[in-house]
Amino acid sequence: MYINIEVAIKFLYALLVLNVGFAVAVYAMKIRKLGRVRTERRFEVKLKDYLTYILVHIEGNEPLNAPPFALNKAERQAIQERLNDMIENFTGTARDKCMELCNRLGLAQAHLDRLNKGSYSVKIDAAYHLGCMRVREAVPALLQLLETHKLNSSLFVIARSVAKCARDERDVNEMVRIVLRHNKGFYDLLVDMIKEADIDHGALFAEFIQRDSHEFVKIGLCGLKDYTDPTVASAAYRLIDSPDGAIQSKAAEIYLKSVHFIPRNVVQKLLRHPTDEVRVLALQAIADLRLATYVDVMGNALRDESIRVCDAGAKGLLLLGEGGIAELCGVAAEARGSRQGEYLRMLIEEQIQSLSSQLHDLDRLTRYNSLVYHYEKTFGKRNRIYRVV
Amino acid sequence: MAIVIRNGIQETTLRLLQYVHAATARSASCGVILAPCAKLNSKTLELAKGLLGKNDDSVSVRLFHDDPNQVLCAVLDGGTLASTHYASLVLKDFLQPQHLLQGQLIVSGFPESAKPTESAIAAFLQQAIQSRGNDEAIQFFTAAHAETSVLIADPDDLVREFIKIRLELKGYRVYEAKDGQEAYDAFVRTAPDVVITELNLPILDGYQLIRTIGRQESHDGKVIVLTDKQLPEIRSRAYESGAADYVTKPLSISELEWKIKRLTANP
Amino acid sequence: MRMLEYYLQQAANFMREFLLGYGYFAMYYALAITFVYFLIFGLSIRHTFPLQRGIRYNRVRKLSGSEHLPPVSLLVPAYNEELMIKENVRSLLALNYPEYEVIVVNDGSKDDTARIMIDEFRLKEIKPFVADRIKTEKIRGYYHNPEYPNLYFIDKENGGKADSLNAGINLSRHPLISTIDADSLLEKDALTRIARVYMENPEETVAVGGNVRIVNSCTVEDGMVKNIRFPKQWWPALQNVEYMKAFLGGRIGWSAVNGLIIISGAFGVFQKDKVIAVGGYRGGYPGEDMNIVIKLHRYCLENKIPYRVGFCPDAVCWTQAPDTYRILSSQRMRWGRGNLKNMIEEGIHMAFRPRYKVFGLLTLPYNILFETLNPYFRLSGLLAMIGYWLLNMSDWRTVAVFLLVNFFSCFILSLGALYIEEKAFSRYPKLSDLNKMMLYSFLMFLGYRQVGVLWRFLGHVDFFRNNNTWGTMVRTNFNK
Repeated sequence: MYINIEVAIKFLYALLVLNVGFAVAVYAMKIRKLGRVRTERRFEVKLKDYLTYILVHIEGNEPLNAPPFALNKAERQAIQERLNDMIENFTGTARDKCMELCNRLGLAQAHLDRLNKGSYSVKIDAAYHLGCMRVREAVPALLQLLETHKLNSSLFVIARSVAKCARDERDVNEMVRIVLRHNKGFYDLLVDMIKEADIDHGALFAEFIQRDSHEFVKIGLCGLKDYTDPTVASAAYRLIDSPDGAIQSKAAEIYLKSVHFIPRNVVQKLLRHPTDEVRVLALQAIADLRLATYVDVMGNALRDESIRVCDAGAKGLLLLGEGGIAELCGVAAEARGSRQGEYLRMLIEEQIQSLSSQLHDLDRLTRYNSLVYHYEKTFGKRNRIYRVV
Repeated sequence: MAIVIRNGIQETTLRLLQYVHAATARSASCGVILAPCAKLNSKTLELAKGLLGKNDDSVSVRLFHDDPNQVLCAVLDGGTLASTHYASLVLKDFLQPQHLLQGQLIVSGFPESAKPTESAIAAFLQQAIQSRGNDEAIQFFTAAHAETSVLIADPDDLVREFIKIRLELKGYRVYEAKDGQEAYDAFVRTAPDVVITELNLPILDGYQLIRTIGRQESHDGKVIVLTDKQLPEIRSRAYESGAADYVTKPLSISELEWKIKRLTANP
Repeated sequence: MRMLEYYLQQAANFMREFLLGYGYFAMYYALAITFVYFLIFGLSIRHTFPLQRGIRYNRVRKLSGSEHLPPVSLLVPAYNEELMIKENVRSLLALNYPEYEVIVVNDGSKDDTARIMIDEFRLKEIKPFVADRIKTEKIRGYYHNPEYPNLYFIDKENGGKADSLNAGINLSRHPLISTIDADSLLEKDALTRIARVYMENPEETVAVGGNVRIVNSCTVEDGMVKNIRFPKQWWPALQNVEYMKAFLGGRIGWSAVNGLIIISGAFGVFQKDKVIAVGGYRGGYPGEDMNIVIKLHRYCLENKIPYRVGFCPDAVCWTQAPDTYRILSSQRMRWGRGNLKNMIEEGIHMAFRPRYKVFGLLTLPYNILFETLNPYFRLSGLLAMIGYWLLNMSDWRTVAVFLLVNFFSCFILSLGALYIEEKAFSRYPKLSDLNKMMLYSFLMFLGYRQVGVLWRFLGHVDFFRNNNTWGTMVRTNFNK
């Protein structure tokens, strides 16, 4: 150790220099930020009138003029931020006029230049702003940047910008193709990005689910969550037989939401599906569509091993009129003593309790009477926990 | 003394009326900017006039300073409200650095903002004179005075500001609130006819606000929900809570205006 | 007489040799710690740039309204929280997030927590069906009010925080769970920010930790932090710089190499099925937050499941730091106890084994040698210093150089953390706050770190004495 003292002292000097360096860097950043905040605040006042002008005339016929005063770099950034917010928050004419204003202010061109000739961080910054401004001309350059980019958060920033700037479905398709090369299952994120594009999403997703690639099918199913037209239903129906489990459940979900009637063979197939989520959805769909012909099938479902399915079946039967309630009480009585049976009985009693306080509603009144009658019939009059109306 | 001032106003009013009629007679629109201002020498006046006319060739500019009322008047013959508004920005940017501006600029367009009558212009002039001493943003004069009052509750500043500006221009009286509690207090205090609210509000959320408003017996306020959520469950939940209508973001202000009109048309 | 002198001389020589050898050992130990620290901090700094880009270029507000964000079940264990539970739950119900549920679990509080919850939200008892994959203490009742469709309340017998979390897991409906402390303030977009990190790799991301910041001396209005200020009191101020160093300087780097060993119990998001697969939270002892993360690493590594445990520093949860010696020391002793138990229960089986990759080869050895066993090394170092002095071996110059090198190599890490804070987050608006942060970073070495080591050691003592209490916990309002 006595030998190493010289080395140690040199190391100490190096450390000292590093320490001072970091401290200076931290203070410099802080002071610069404070200065920026001050200029922004000053600019705020100046900008308010101009922004009011934009907001008032944003849906008018005339194009928006550039601000009458000259802008320095910080001020351009401030206006850029505001315009980004507006383009995101408005739609239709208002959005188009904001985009046109961005062009007129030279912001779009400036960022296009930065995208082509800047360092990496400048490129990403430009990609982000071009996306916000929805500059269609930027798509080729953005796709090129996307092509060679590695998988990290910035990849998604660029991909989202491509979606926002997309001219048509081909651009979106291309973006999805490139991003799927790094596939990590981020389908929800992709769908969210695709929905920012100015294209017919329903058509695109419907097209995706008809492809062979499982990935595209999954993206399509994810995107079609809220679309309920019949063409979707038939495509979804075909996918219920897909080898992939995730696709099966999603397809079943979409199918059940978009049909008004389910054929018996489909009902039986769904109720035999290994995933309990699918069985639950099928039972809920039957109940929602009031398909009273399937009371027997639902009765079978009450004997399902999964308690969730049993519960869904029971709640569904309650909505299927006299027949459903009769079936429910019947199965509950038969299964007396088993775990399912006890659960069903408890559910029935609980329903009776809760319905008895809502008897002003005709629908509920009918249900209550029906339930009470069948309960008494199957379980006997012993437990008077209700009152007859 | 009072008579002299009144005559001063009347004189200016008539002069402005003359100019405006000259334009509207030809079915052109006419924009007017009024601002409390110190006396300008003729050179400054010429400069200002040049700046105002620079933007648009089809517009002819008349610029004069009304001494008794100390108001600068600019008449843009052929200018729409939009171009007049823009011109006011130019004018403000010109006057402020030279410390000539003594109040707020008021902008109006005929016939967009009001019918060119003597009383309208007189009121316009009054508004300009009364704004002396304020150094705030550019204001509008509008004759449209709907009796409807609206409360907008949204934590997003941009959306609130946008709706406020647009509705005020159409003559609605607009109150703002940033969160649920503020919205409820404002509702109780001002009893607006229509409430526009986001669902995701801090403190008291949108659904609860709607329900609490529904429970108020003293005043019947109709609620329009304005939100970016599109899930059908959320829509039905909003209606169940008592909302009268539902508008999704990104926002179309004309849709919103129509819905307000429809809700307040029925007595 | 001369024999005695001879033997004393021999003993002294032997001691000199021993201490010299120990000196080399201590030097290598210190070098190793410094090396690992610098490595992790270097990674943190390098990772700050892509992190900052991810934060700046994602429009969080727009994302908060998206229907594609994964649904989350927030689990809020509460014990004797009657003061703040109303406001905090209201604040949690008003997050900017499309689909989530808040499950508040009353852990057999002795005060009015349960009654306040039931009265405030007009909750009625329900009988939901509940998975029973993890055993918990007896549940007294489940409560719900359809007017607050996202709120569920579980009233149960006392069983500890881990037990409450497990009860919440049994009731939860969604595939992601998030643990929140009942007394912490979650920022409105925190869940969205973590969800974004999760969505970029949904299958592999088994857990994401949030950033915990200290709210002392900040103004809190209506469940939101309005004015952010550096704490005025000593203890919270010291803890603030300590947390910043640990979270920003440490956790970012560790998560970059997938070696993160702990996710704060105050705010973290987990994949429910993986948590259930490892048996839920281990109760009965403190340190369950580190324990669950260690178990997740082990489960995924043993079953060869590709995974990552992430850290999202822009998702912020504000918490109140203890401001008296008594409460702080009790907390740190508890942490020390929990840490030791975790290392003995889990850590030892995985350390230094290549099967456990970075976690086993870097994280755990680092944790065992430089965190858990740190008090003992320091103690022996202290004894050695005394020995040096007694045997006239010490050269003041060497000692001074050694101490200065030690100080500056630690201080630069604090500066690194401040750099990251300033570059990517910059939450403190005033220059005076920065000055205070510098000052307290310096003051940390004048006793705070040392007393921390003492507390850890006392925690170990408690462990060996089988002392298993939670010590003192006093709730005060925010805005102090």
